[in-house]
Amino acid sequence: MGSRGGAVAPAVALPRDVAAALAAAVGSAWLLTDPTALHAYACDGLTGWRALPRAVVLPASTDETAAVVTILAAHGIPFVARGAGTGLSGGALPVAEGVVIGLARMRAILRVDLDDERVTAQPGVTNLAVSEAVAALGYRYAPDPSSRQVCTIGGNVAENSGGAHCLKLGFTTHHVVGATLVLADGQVVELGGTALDPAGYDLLGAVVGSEGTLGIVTEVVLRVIPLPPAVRTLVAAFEAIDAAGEAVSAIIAEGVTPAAMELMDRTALSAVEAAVHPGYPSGAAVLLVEVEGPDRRCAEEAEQVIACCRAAGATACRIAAGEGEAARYWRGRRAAFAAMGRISPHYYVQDGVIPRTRLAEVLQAIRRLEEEHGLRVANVFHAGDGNLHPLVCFDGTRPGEAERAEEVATRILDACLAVGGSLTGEHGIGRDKVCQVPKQFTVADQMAMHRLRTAFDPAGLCNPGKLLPTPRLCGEAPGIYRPHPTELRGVADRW
Amino acid sequence: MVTPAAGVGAVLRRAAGDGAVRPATARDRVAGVQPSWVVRPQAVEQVAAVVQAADARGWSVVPRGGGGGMAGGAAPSRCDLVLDLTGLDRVIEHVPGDLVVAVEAGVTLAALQDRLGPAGRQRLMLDAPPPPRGPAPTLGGLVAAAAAGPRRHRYGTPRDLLLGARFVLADGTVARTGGRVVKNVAGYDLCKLLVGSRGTLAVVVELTLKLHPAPAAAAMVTVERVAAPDLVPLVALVRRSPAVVTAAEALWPERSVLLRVEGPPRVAAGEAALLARAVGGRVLAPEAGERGWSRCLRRPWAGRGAVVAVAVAPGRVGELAACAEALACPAALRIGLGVGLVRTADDPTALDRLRDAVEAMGGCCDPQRVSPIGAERVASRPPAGALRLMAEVRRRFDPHGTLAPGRLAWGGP
Ligand SMILES: Cc1cc2nc3c(=O)[nH]c(=O)nc-3n(C[C@H](O)[C@H](O)[C@H](O)COP(=O)(O)OP(=O)(O)OC[C@H]3O[C@@H](n4cnc5c(N)ncnc54)[C@H](O)[C@@H]3O)c2cc1C
Ligand SMILES: Cc1cc2nc3c(=O)[nH]c(=O)nc-3n(C[C@H](O)[C@H](O)[C@H](O)COP(=O)(O)OP(=O)(O)OC[C@H]3O[C@@H](n4cnc5c(N)ncnc54)[C@H](O)[C@@H]3O)c2cc1C
Repeated sequence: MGSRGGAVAPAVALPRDVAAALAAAVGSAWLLTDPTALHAYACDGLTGWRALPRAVVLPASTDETAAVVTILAAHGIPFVARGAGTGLSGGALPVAEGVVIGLARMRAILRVDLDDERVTAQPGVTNLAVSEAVAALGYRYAPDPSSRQVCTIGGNVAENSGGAHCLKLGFTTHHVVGATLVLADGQVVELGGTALDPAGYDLLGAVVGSEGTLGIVTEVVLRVIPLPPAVRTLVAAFEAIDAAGEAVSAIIAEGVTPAAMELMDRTALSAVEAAVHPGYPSGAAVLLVEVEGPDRRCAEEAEQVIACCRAAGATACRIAAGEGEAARYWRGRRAAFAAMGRISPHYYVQDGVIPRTRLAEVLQAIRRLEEEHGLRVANVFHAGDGNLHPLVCFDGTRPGEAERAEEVATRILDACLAVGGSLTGEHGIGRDKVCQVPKQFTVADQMAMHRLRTAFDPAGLCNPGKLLPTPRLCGEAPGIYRPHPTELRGVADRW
Repeated sequence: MVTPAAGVGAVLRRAAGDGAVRPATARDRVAGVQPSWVVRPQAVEQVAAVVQAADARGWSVVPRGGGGGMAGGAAPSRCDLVLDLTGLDRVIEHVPGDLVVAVEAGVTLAALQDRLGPAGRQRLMLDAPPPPRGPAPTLGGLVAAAAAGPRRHRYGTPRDLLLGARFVLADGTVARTGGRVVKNVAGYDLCKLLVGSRGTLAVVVELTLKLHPAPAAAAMVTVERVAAPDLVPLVALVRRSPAVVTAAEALWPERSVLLRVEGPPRVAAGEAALLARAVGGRVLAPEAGERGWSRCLRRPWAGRGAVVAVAVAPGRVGELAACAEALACPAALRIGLGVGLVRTADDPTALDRLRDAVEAMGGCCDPQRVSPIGAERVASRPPAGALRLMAEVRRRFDPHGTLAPGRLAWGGP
């Protein structure tokens, strides 16, 4: 398994016959074994974790992917699927003794059918490309992660990715209706399709969000939806972030479901203003709200949102006068992570979820952590659904500061869990949080999940070491998952 | 079928308490199969103890909520006890500000909506069968049967509303999946597996559900005398119209389409007018609208015969209507989604014909209220590879086949 920070261990070369078989399956140009080429695959967006795979294979079709996996399975070699590598939890971190299967060559949109409201795509197609393929026809693909220009649909399915507009429209899982999956033994299965309600258990629902541990997705059928007839984008400034939080609650209580509700605090705003000049009204917190729908409804909802913001003490409210202004407001929000570089040499991006109503107390806990550890935390979040992205700022050149930042990030998650929240709202468990899983799930909960995993991948070859903790990864801490002896026996007699 | 001996009652009473156990009667039959005992626990621990005791002794357990949807599965291969979940009837927590509610599985949909009340101005967006027909559906039953009504058009099915669940596995383990927040990607989403599993993977004991703001008003638009081939173009008009449509039902054989618009009163009325103009229909007066809506909810349940859920690619919904017409089956089709409910004679020829026609369109049939033999006949099978995987999932969750064995009409183990 990968290591933290430090040097990357050289990969153990593949046995010659395996390499030859893989080269025959995909064409030798698409089997990478040269260490310099492999370095490009050593990490995903969580760059602190690195490992060199033994090889990278780039298949061009479902059949080639199945052939590759069949070869690897026959030799007991683990493998990790990879899309664009923008994941933020180390999900695509290679397994040192394994192979990376990159889906980047499979980037064709296979079918667009608007009578069905479906787009069929290969996994390497980017999220934005799907929306672009149907935009001229008045449609869009709803989930819109900030990374949408580069991240792939395969990665989105694996992470059940969300975006700012998921508050109203739902996450990837609500927009995927079919998939072709190459199982860990090389078998190909079709789950769902163009029609809803396919016969049998909803295995597709379980595959979405499974972080590449249940198989490799080689084709997906996506639901696309009409572009909204009208959109209103508003910003409101507040003197305190808690007041902005109250506005969010009031909007929900009013019965309005905005398409998006994004909140940024003072630290985040100072970075954003410096980087992209979005022209937000000034304040200690800015709430960005978007409502969409039929024109009249939209106007009415915008009025309601403004009334809620005013009642919560907003010092300024603005409705974007046109698309240009709205785009500018969004640019500010989308640039928030990248802009942090302006005010801090390094930062740690956390992803946690809380029940919306507990916002004030969690923000207070974050402030206490800032003081205790002498580090700044910028808060950027999907306020509507309680998904926090605190950015813990630090200077990695100062001894011990990186460790303190990580400590703060971990303690923030503890605060989320203490109010009934979750370890992750969109970035996934991956390798990053795998040892924290027992904080949210009991041994029994983990064992139930393990049953699903072993049904798909009894040999444990598919992205091992991600999503569920093992003693090897996390030590013999109490509560860490271990297959129950009776479970192993019970299942063994069935074979 | 194993006939439990006299000692069985004692074991069950030990697990669930004295008052919770009674011998089964003919009314407790599951798809024609007579169970020996009915156990009605009042606490999750009791459910776990009953299931564990049964699993250890090889007795099979069929979970039951209100019992209104039990004819949606095949006959169980064994049925020793019915596990009646209506005793788990607590609303655990409702947090209005989070639009989330946690309930025990035996809470009825009606009781929950009452509890959410007009004051809370929130609703669980699942349509209920109109009273007073039959037993009140429970949330556990609705989730296990993936049941949804016309407003699925906008709000989806239990799949889209279930945020978290607590469940009892066949070996008596109590586990949770998901959580109580609307956004959550920690761990596998086992909720999706539980929805529609009809009691074969686990007994669902607690559910956390997403709520929506209750719309203040609704208006109904109707389009009459729609020919089947006109349905797809009509759907395109609905999608492009400036209205938030929450249900779009085609009722066959009357060939009428009913569209529901919800929202604040003035907004809903205004949008309904625009919608009517866009689709060449008319806005119904309030009472006529209510009658139309109640027809949507009843169709095609009211009346004798088999009720079968059908699903095709949305672009083929016109063909689906034509098929219902050709087979003379009353139908309610959710035209925006390509799904619907069809009623047909509960005999092998009629069921075969329906299934063949739907499968020829690349679609699937799933029995909702069918005789046990008919259910297996009409149910579409998953493709072979997927079916093997489903069987494997079932084996991992319930290695001894304790929970509702044989109940899956689609050929699940
Ligand atoms: C700047 C930035 C902004 C971001 N914003 C958001 C956001 O707003 N919302 C959000 O949800 N996420 C966000 N992310 C995270 C990331 O972009 C998403 O998780 C994305 O879905 C990953 O896609 P990818 O193609 O890069 O996948 P990768 O990083 O390559 O892989 C991610 C996981 O998916 C698996 N995988 C990839 N392809 C397949 C496949 N075909 N079959 C099976 N498994 C596969 C991998 O094994 C790995 O576990 C952001 C990341 C960055 C860097
Ligand atoms: C608008 C509308 C109208 C309807 N009209 C009718 C109608 O007129 N007639 C009709 O028969 N149906 C009708 N239905 C369908 C019916 O409501 C559903 O089938 C619903 O599931 C019944 O709920 P129940 O509690 O009675 O479930 P049950 O019948 O008790 O159970 C349904 C299935 O789920 C399983 N199950 C139940 N509880 C659990 C649990 N806690 N854990 C695991 N498995 C469980 C059972 O084993 C069974 O397989 C209608 C549905 C809608 C949405």
